[in-house]
Amino acid sequence: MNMLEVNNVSKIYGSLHALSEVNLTVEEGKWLSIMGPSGSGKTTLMNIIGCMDKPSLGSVILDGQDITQLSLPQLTEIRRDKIGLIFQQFHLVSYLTALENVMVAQYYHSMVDEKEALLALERVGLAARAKHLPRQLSGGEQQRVCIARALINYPKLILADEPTGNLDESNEAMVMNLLHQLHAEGSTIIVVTHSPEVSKHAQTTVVLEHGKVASIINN
Amino acid sequence: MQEITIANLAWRNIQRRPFRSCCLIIIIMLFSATLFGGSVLMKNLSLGISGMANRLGADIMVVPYGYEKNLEVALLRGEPSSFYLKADLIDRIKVIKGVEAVSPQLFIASLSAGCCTSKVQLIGFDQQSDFVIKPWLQTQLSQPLTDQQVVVGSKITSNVGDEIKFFNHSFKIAAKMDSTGMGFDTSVFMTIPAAQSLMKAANLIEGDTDHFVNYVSSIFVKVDPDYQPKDVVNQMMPKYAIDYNIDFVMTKGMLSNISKWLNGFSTIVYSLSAIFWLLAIIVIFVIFSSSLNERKREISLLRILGASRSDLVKMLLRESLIISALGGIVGVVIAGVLIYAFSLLICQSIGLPCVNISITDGLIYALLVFLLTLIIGPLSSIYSALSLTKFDTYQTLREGE
Repeated sequence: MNMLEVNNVSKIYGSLHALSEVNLTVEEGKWLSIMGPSGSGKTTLMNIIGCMDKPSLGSVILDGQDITQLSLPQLTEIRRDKIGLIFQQFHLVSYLTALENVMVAQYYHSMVDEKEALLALERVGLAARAKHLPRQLSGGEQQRVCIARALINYPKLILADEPTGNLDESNEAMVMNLLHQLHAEGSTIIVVTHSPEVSKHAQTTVVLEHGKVASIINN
Repeated sequence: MQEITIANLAWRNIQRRPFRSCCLIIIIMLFSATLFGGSVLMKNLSLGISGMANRLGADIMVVPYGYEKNLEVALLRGEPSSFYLKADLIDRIKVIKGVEAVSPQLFIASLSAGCCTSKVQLIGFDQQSDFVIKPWLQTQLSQPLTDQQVVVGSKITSNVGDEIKFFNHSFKIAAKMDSTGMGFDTSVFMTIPAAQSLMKAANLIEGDTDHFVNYVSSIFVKVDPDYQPKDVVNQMMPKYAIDYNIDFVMTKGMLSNISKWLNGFSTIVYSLSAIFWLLAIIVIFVIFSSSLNERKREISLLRILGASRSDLVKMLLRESLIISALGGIVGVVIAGVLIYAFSLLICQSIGLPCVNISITDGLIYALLVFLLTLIIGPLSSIYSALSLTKFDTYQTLREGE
């Protein structure tokens, strides 16, 4: 079963075609990398897949539902229920502790469960740092909190935007290891990256250039 | 057990940004303290003045020429003063058309007394004709005051039954007065003969020491309701003003001057409160707007995590509501404590009578000021809250990366 189908998707800003007739399919449980240089349309595509933007043309079917037909509040619901987001800059709430940052995702999803949030932090090796504010954590630790937050609501799709872009080698390895664990447990993963090293972890790599799919590589 | 709700998200933001939060709270506190403190002080003053008007009883007070101010300060502030006019004027005033009652008082400024740290005003009053002192007595005297007994004002620290000494004469305290908010609170009342004997001891009148019986300080006149006080004064003035070298203090005139002053004072207080209110709204608006960029990412992130726009507007408004509530409570409490501690001192320093408002009235004032304060935060942050939640979410989150 396909987790994601992107059919002839274009995104047009005035005369600029950020995406032109992009097609791709991701089966459930697969790991896909979207690679390309800056300005190739990676982020635009991620916005559309992540229900944060709508395409100008084409359709996107996520977990069997055409998300291009949905209103903004409906897209918010889909994002909340089905997608776990991991960011390059971590984007933790500065005045909340690591634990609270995980719990806030639970709060907007359904209900808060402190034990479960602690387990998620334990899984990324940060149970001991649960009460620390983001500024008291290293970049690698912040990224791991971000991963714990992304997986707390058991999303069907994990969408990671340059997840290792701000990390050193050892933290990069730790984060990739975590993604492998999630993948092994059956999560569908899409990683947007400009790094060939990171993209090699995926089963399939889609290379974007000038808003178009330039090639699809099976690793 | 940790909880995450809109309310405690707002609270954590306030708690973990202490400098910003404290600045906002202080601004709001200034507003609520000014409004609450000013309002209560004005109410205390107006209660003191209306109490004085209602219970002083006299419409006209006759004093020696040039001593009108002395009487005013003696009545309003209790500043001790001694002045005298001839007592035979009493009988002459009694027969004037429109005069309902006449009662003399004899003022003596004491040098010191065991009861008091400062000089007090000693007032001799005529028990038979008195209509000024009696209404203030806490309990009626079972028997008329003897020449060895006194009635003390509410702020004299001695109690009923205690002894008190003036000019080496000992007196027993027979009764204590209610709080008047006026100079009566720091005065001691005795019979006119007792006051006269003190005058003799103090050697207050030169050259006529054997005829103290012929002097009083002030004559309180109550006018028949069918007559105007000014008509009565107009009858007395040509007949006695020059011969007796006297002047007339009209209670209403004295109080209307105070009322005018009070109106001016209330205008200042309310203007200041309005300025603080506007200032608080503007400052919070500016601070919330200027933190727009800082908070854009946080808000966008929460939206990405699934918060609806209304969730976020509620959170931001809740945050400003908490700041307003804290500022409001702190302001009201601080002003309340200061006013409770210093109200009478303030009234004395500005020379006006005042009476503390009741606890119920105080609570009503506090509640009204608190409600007015509560509006400030949400009113000044609603625009920022709505603007903050309008942004394109992920683009905003990645700005500057």
